[in-house]
Parts: sequence; structure tokens; C-alpha cells
Amino acid sequence: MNVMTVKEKLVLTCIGIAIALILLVHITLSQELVLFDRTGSAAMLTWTPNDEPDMAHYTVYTWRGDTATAALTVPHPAGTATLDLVVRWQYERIGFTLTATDEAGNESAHSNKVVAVFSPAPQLVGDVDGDGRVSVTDGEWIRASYGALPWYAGWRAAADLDGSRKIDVVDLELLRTKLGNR
Amino acid sequence: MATKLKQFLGLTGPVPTIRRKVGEVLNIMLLADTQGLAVHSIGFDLRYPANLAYVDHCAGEFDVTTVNSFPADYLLYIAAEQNDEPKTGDGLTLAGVSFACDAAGEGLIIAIDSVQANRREESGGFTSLPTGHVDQPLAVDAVEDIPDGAKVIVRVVVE
Repeated sequence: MNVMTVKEKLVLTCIGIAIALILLVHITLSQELVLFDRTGSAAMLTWTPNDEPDMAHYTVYTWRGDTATAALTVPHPAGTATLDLVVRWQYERIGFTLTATDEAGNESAHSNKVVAVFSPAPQLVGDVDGDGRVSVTDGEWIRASYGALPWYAGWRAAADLDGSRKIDVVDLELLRTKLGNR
Repeated sequence: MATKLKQFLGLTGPVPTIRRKVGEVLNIMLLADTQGLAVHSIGFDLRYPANLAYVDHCAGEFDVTTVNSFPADYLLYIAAEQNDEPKTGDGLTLAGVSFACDAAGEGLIIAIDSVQANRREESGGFTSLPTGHVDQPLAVDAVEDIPDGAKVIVRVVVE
């Protein structure tokens, strides 16, 4: 017959208390996260709000590869969220998960992951001032930034038409081929 | 604004009418009156009737003249740029533009009220001169009245 030592009893008691605590703070998030619409670089997500009484908020995570980033916090009992995404390249795959957090700060496990493909909104190349057309005024903006490198005060990313990371006469010549576009 | 545009483009008199036969070429010269302002760059839209086709252009008195064609819309964007000292004057030529007269009909060649002009400053920046504003594209139809905000360059009759 095995007789438990006091030390073993103590260890088992601690494990039991730990399991009980984990069960007490565990938040269920059984609702399915759904991507119900997307427009350009915006994603609209929906889920059924948790019915636990001490629910505080939901956190939407974006996943790029295996890296998750908390993108948006939505107060309970909301069931929808819209994210404006920074899409870095054409056909970028971005995933979304959701967690629920109670008033004590306990966060649930992640929901199911939904994945969608996004592309950056088309840009009007040469429209440096953002007025919707390529004109001589955009040319003047390029001239005003002549010689600028990305760390210069006069740097304007929209004026670097060729992506050379220097604003120069090549950008102006490229702009001339696009004058009048809208 | 329309008056300013008319003054800026330098043609405030009666609208001239040019007659051509199908197959001929129509050449027009675009002039500017800077109204005393010193100008480094001028840009504006020029619309033309569908029975004409843009063929070519030649530079005016500015160092660089660019004409970009949008044939589906019968639209040209015309830009004149000056490298060094700005231009001031009445009757400055911006560009010469040639059209092929492809079909019979009557129409207007108009500059839309969206003239943009700029003067470069010694500080490296520039000033947009108060000569116009961006407007919606205006339809060009041979038989309709002249749209508000447009400067008629010439009335063209192709026979």
C-alpha cells in the first residue's frame, strides 16, 4: 500500500488548485469568426457576441504568415468590426482571428482563422498632390523635392515615380508621360 | 473664372470658324496671356470634336511642351514648362496642335476651365497662380451651346 507523503499531498493540492483556477478564468469563444465582406484594403468581420456576464472586449488579430498582430479592439457586445489594412503587395494573404477578454483581463484562446487575399488600392501614378489628376502642378511638386532622399525633409514618396528612392529628373520625365491621367 | 480663363488663353474676341475638307489637316496655335504674371508652367485640357483626330504637336515659346492624347475621350492635356526665367506676356505660344479631319461635321475645340499655372520660387517651392480650378470634363458636341466654364478656341466645320 502506497502512503503519500506530506510533500506529495502538498504538490497534488497545488496542482488541483491550479487546475481549478485555470477553469475559473477560462473564457469560451465558440462562435465562428466570419469574413463577410471586403472592399479594397478593408475587411469586415462578424461573430456572435459572447454571452458571459463579465465580458469586456474583443481583439481582432491579423496574421501575416505565422505572426499575429493585435489590430483592433472592439468593446463588448459588438459583433462586427471593420479593419483598414495596410496591404504591402499584390495578392497578399492576410488571416484574422478573434479573442475575447473579460473584465479581469483574462483573454480567451484564438477563434478559427479566416484568410483572404488583398491587393493595394490602385494608385494614380504621378498624382503627387492627390487631387485626382496628373498635371503641371504635380510636376512642380517633383521639382520642389529635387534631390530629396527618403530621410530628407523635402521627401515625398508620391513624387518618387520610378521607386529609385531619389527624386530627380527621371521622375519628372516619367510624369510627363502621364500628364492628363485621372 | 471663365472670364479669367478666356483672358489667360488670350483669345477674347469672336470665335473664329475654320473650314476644312475631309482628309485635310487642321493646325491650331494655342496662345496665352499671362495677365502680367510670371509663369513657369501652364497646363490645361483641350477637347475636340469626334470627327477630328489628334495627329501631332509642336512646341511653343516654352522650353518643354508636352501634349498627351486620350483619343477615346477626344481630350488632350497640354503642358508648357519653362526651365529658367519665367515667361510673362500676351500672345505667348504654348503649342501648335494638328488634327486630321476624318469625317464631315461641325464642332468646337475648347479649353476646359481647369487651367493650372505655377510660378517657382527661389526657396525651391512654387506658387499655384489663381488662374483656374479643376472641373468636371465637359462634353463637346457640334450643335450644342458652348458649355459654361469653357473657352472656345475655334469652331471647326469639316465638309
